[in-house]
Amino acid sequence: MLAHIVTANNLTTGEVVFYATAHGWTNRFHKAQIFNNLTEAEALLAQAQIDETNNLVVGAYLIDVTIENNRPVPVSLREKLRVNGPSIHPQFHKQSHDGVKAA
Amino acid sequence: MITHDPKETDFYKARSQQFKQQVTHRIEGHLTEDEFKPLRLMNGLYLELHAYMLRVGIPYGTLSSQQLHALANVADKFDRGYGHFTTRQNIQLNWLELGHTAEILAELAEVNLHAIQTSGNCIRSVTSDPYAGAAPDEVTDPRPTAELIRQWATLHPEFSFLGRKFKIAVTATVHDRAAIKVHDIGVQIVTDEQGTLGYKIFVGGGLGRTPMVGKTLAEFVAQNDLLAYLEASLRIYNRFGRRDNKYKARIKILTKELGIDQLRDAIEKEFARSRDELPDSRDWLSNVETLFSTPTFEQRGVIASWDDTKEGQDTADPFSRWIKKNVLRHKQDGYHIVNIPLKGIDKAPGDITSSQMHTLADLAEQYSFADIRVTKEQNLVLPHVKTSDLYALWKVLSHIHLAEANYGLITDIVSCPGMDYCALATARSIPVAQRLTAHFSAPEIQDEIGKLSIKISGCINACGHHHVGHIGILGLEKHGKEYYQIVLGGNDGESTSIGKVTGPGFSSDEIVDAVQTIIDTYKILRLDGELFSETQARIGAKPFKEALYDTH
Repeated sequence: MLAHIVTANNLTTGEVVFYATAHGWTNRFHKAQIFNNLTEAEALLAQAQIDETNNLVVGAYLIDVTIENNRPVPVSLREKLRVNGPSIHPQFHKQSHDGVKAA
Repeated sequence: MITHDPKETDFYKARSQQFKQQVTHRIEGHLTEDEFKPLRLMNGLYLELHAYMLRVGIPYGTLSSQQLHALANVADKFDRGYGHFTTRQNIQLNWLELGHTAEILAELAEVNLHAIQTSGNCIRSVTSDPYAGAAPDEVTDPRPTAELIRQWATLHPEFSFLGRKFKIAVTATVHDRAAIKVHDIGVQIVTDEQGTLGYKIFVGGGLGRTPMVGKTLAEFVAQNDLLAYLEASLRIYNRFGRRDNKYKARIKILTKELGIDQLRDAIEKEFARSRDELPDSRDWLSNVETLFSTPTFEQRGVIASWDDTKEGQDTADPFSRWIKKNVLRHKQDGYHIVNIPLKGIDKAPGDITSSQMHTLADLAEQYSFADIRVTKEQNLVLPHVKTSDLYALWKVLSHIHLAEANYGLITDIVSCPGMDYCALATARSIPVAQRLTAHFSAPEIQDEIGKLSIKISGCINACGHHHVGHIGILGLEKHGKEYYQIVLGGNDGESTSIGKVTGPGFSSDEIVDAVQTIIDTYKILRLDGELFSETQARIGAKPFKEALYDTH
């Protein structure tokens, strides 16, 4: 079953970030808040988009994830790359944070 | 080399200060993203998958040692110690923070680098022959004309908000190294029957989702009239080009919809009406020409000739192989054009580390009049190297891993950044390039295949120029998986042609084998001494398709 996470890019650093509710935005994928219910996820997205007008992040949107071994895994390759860093240039990988395997 | 007017430097510095204010307004919340985006794009700043990306312009692909050092310094100080040269002779820095970008532009302004005309719906940075001023076959150095067009186009008030981007390329040879027929306007410097220099103008070429080969707009435009003719062309495009659909807003669509004759009539009428509104282009060009200095070449006799260098080389010897593959004839006997492919095995095409940049800048200073060129194949060139310096140059290039002897061979692959970096991409392209490069890495295999260009794009926007690769590869996404279409029949030289898709795409796992199948077919069907592009032109795509899909 698909679950959902809110993501964006940090306005000043450009870094990929995820919404972690009370804790605000995090660059740690595994700390993102996960919604099994799309309606609830969309409500959080609306909340998160206020942070766009507050100039914290740019381009907030929802991504689909599956849960594997109790951890979220992005469905699309694009989002796997955003979570992990580029599949080339291994020195820039981010697996040490979250261990999501690219396709 | 070009000497920049100090006023120009001051302008770039002022521009970076202006951008600093815009960035501050954005970070402090006085500008929304919608308001800020066009301002950052006017300064070459994109927000990509992982960070901000700055595209720095390198007009007509000409860099000085000082400029390359400055780029390396910026890459070290603000990025992750490398840069990526693009198919439009520019360089991209991939890992920037917004707050640093104005400072970066201020540092680059000190050496007359900037990011103007690298994005947005304006006349983009002018591209040209990377061998300009060194090529034996040029009728004149095309860079002054390219610089003339740049000066006219930069911040042109009428053309700063076009329907779409507008790309102009200039060459001065029949053998086209600037792909002028796949630009919105291509300018070929020619001579008439009296030997007078002028311009043949092509219009309506382009790649992207609707690839087209440019058509001849004017057989001969006098030097006095170049800018007036270009201005008339842009004005007609700006007035009649579509704005209802961004994908149909390029001049290639207008050319197709009006037909070349009707478009030409409209431009000629506007040209006749407005030709006296601009300064005489020949006079302006004369001023520009004074900015360019010609290297002081030593005379033949002091140094060995081309033939002494090129003949009888043993390609098993690394230095000899490098000479044979990467070094080309210069217009001045005793000098050479040295190609430096940024295509090491397992490397990302076009990538270069800041350390390599520094060393290369020093080598250019020592051996090539501090002159470095960037090619649309994402390689670098030292355009003026003396025969007696070749060995010393090669030794250092080898030491910094930039002596790959694969110029123009199957591993000299062009590739856009693809989905590893680009927010528009639908598939990865660099990993495909890396796997193909590794697969065909053996020198004897590359030699047996001969000259062949593979060009890879990670989406339909075609930044990897796949439509004009001898073998083009287009990465797409289908049901969450990457797959790759193969395009055959493309060429971006004087016989420019747009390749056609062979059929259903191949998975990421299949694509290398598919290219091997094409190569195997070529090797069976080629005539003695026939290049891949020649075989393909002679026999068409059918035998390749049969080989690809009978076993697929």
